[in-house]
Amino acid sequence: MRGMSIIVKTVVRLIAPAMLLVGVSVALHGHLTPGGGFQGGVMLGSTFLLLLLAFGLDFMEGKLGFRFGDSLRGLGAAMILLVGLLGLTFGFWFFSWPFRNEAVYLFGVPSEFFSSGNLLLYDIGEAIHVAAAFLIVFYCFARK
Amino acid sequence: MTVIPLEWLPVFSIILPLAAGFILVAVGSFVPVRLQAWSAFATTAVTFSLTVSLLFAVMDGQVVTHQMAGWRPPFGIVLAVDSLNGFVAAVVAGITMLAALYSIEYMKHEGGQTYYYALLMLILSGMMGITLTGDLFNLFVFLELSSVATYALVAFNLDHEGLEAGIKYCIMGATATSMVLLGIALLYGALGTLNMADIAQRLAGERFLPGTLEGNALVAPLAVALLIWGFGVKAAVVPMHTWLPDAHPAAPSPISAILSGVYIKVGLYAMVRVLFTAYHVQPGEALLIFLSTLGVVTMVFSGFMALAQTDIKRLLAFSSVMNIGYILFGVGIGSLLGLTGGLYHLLNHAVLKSLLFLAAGVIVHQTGVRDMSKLGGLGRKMPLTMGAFAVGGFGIAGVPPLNGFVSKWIIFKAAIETGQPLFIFYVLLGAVMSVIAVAYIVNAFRSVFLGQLRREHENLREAGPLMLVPMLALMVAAVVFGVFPQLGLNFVEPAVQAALHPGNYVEQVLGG
Amino acid sequence: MNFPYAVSMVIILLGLYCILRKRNLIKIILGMGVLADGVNLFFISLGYRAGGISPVLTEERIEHFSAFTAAAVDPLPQALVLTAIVINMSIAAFALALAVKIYQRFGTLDMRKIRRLHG
Repeated sequence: MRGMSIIVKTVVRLIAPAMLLVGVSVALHGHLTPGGGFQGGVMLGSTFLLLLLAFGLDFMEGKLGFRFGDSLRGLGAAMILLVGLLGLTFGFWFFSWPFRNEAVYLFGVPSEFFSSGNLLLYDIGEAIHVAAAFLIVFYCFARK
Repeated sequence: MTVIPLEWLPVFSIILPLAAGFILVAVGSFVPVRLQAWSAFATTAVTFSLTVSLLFAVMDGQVVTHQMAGWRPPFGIVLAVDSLNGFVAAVVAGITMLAALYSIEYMKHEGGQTYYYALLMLILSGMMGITLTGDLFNLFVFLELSSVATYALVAFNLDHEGLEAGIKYCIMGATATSMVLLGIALLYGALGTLNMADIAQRLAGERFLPGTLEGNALVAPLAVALLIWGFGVKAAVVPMHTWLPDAHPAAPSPISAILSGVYIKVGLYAMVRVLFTAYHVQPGEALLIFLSTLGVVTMVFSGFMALAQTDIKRLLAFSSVMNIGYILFGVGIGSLLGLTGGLYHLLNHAVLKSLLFLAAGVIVHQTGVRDMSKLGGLGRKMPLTMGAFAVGGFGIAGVPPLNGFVSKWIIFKAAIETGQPLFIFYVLLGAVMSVIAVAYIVNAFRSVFLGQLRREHENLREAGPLMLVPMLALMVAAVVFGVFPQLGLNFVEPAVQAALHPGNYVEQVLGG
Repeated sequence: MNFPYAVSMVIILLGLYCILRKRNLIKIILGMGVLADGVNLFFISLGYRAGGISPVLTEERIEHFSAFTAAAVDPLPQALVLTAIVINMSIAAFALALAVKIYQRFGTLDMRKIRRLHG
């Protein structure tokens, strides 16, 4: 799969960083505002798709290999599992907040980044997992 | 089990296979294939031991619950295990374990084993999730998880048959799960809850949410109709069965054993759970009579279809549909005895049909032929496989010393005890179909194992020990459950009590 | 009759029609997507409330908690539909991958020409 014309490449070069940033921002603030790990991950994934279409498969695989995407996906899944198991070991229930001595349920505060416990870690893991999974799916289709 | 709290067991039996699946894919390229296969088997074995210890813990009526993230039950997702789903989960994990052991040898020379075992782990995780969860939407998620894995495994060989069966199954399955979701949405809109215990309580008290769906007498029946449609496709009940005779033979044989032995039972379990726990149906209700009619139609139709088959795995697949009919008939009677027969037949059919598929797998593996007219005289070359096929086949047909006879007998007895002419007519049909089952099994047995050995099969050998051990285990189980039915019924009876009296489940889930 | 419910029922029926009547595999897969979207739309509109506010807790909303719960839309269907969308995405990806393989092998996407098994 080859890339597209110079016009497309230039425009994508302008748009892609903004898309990436929005994706990361949506993923990182998912625990406080609308959005979340999946939505952010989808934005990252669609950025990859845009780059893949504009610059071609070879360019993309040079930057982000298939195996690297696979291990990223594993990392995301491991982070989600870690959150769950931490909750299980220290808070007795799967996914629960490990340090629940003062407040049982944490209410996040939109202006404070670290205000909702392990949900942040979960969201990051989910975003990584979803973005990497999308990348792999697009690679599979592009290779045909 | 003092080291691990009882409440953690359901979580571990779900996430252990799930994590194993992800790890297998991640490390697949630098770990020897044989080690991957054995670790997949080890995972299933650990899951099986977890479910067995769960089953023994819940047999006396205790309900083990796990509240996800510590949210109290109707609000959060809860995993709830009573003796009904503990029983089903143990059966599921046990059969999957034996199939995984069998796969080590069967898949030895195949490509893509990493993905095979990863998908196997995903199926197990999904089936554990369906059986152990107490939340309707969570059930849907796990249903989809296991469904996607089964679509992929049906198409695993990427040959003509696999591709066609895979896409057909995928289309039917995705439509069915959409219907399940629609049913769940209707229930949620009417009741405002997804927890099955809470649904049961609110339906019983008719506590509907104020809103557009309030007071609409159609909502609850429509929802249950959609759920029966969706789960019925997964369980291959007759008008919705058309994917099964294509999909089950197309998959690799151990997967056929899992799909036919336990995966369709999981759909049936979901139906039983929704009907008996959430809707709390009583024996003799129109819905249950409809279900047993559906069961009888299933058994009659697929029995005749099985007679016409020449492909050995297709024949076994139709026989699976037929036995789903028997189980549904037993469940549809709805009485204590009927459910006992139905659930005991669930266990027995799981044992027998996976035994049959594993035996057929040996034949396919050693000869590469599935057409029964091109086989013959294999009995001298493979005496153990012949024995396994005989035990499984005659058990399925309901020949007395084996376990299939006991459960069919209980179902028929329950139907006669109701005294209704309709059910007695169904018993007659069921007895006739049993004779037909004997006919097609004897026919298959004769054309595969007896008669003239073909010249190209002169130097065949018996399968390796790793393939024979699971078959022997299943043979022993088939005979033991047939000669000493009380051994199996000890586990079935608490399950039936849990299904018939959901009050205990509701109380402990919402109170715990 | 509530308008969103009627629309979602129409979409569901459209999806079912597409699955049952179309011959092209890609159209059938699109039909599966349409069907699932109809169900999702129905689910989402269950949680809607006329003039509702977003279900995000902020500090001043915690102070007037009962007023907040009386006015906010139901967030649960949104979370559930998100999950359902993810699942539909994976099923669509899988079905399309299978369609690619089928096209490579058979050279056609017409279901009637692919069909050889009958059951």
